[in-house]
Amino acid sequence: MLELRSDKASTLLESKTTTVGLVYSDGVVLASDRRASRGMLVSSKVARKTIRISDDVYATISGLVADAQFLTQLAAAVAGYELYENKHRLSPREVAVYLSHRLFYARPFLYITHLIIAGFSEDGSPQLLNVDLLGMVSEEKYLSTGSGSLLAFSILEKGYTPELTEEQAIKLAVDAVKAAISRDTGTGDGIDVTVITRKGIRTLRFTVKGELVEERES
Amino acid sequence: MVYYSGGATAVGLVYSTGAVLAADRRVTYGPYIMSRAVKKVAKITDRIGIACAGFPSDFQKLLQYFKFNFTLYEQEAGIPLSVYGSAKLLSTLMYSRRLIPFLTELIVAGVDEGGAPKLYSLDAVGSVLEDKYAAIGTGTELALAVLEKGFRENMSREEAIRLAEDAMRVAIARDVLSGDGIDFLILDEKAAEEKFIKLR
Repeated sequence: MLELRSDKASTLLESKTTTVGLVYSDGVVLASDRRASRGMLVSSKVARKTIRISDDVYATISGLVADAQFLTQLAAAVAGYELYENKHRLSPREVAVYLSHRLFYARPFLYITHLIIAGFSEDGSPQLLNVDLLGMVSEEKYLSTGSGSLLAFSILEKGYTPELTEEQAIKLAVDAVKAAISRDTGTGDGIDVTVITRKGIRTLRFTVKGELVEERES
Repeated sequence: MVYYSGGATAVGLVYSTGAVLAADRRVTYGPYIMSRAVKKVAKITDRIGIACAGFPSDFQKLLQYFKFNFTLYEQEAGIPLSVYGSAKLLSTLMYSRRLIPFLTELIVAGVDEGGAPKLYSLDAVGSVLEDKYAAIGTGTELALAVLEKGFRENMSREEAIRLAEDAMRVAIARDVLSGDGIDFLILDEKAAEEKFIKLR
């Protein structure tokens, strides 16, 4: 029998993570923490888990970082190609369905990842999609993934209504990740927030205590 | 049959105008020291360097593939490949072997022309994370403890080299799989400098 042993070198980089997505009256908010871990070691305190797929479609990642980066960057390349070649902007659902094909037909060697895809659908309404490691796609109003998702859900279930304003939605998303940070060791080191609106993209960064430290608009 | 890993420790950090990479030289088969002379930092160009930890066979082969593809890119495109480009190229090579991975971790660091110094760490299947400092290998926790305490933004070249040396010395002192010497690769906009400290 062949056995490969590489002590700690074989421990792969995971984002145990808590990521949150929610739809509000006229946009989508994505939030993710900044910790990447390798077993019980915090191997990055500045990891980005919200990833741009196209100008108006963003994703959050969790699971094995290499798999998640591969899939989201592949989707970004496909979206870029579609725009260049066919002048067609991929909707979040098209991105999600493309990824679900990749995930489903990868069996039996699964990509270990759970993604949230967000943006605006073809009819112009904000859209949030859940793509799991087996290839399921479901549309949701609010969603959380990662090791701290149960903690985050407890805040979302209590606070979510479809009538939230942008600022209320941001606060709810930050509070949900904060709850996960407080009790989940795989989550921590700050909160990245991406707001997708009809006007453009707004990115914010918060400390673990929920203080705003950086804000950018594009 | 059991293949034991080459334990190792490598660290990297950026300073005001460049980046420092350092790695030990020991290779072990389980508890037995197979070699005290394996170099684990590689100078790619005057601007870009790589530090490795893991199976020497795997990272040596990976570096051969990388150098080939790096040269091919620069020849065909006629422009230099950026530090991020190099990290991404390595990531692609590693991810293409997702099911039978290269058992190695990497730190890629350097300076783009006219740009700020950059540092990326990669795991065995090619995840790319940007950071200001990183440690990989069996001495990660030990080295990281020193870097965590000593790292500041915009350090001078001398401070950065000293911090990398401190981190490596602590890892070597307490991790039996690392040791025998420290290779340094110091990269800045002008030129790369290599340095070696013998520890035995």
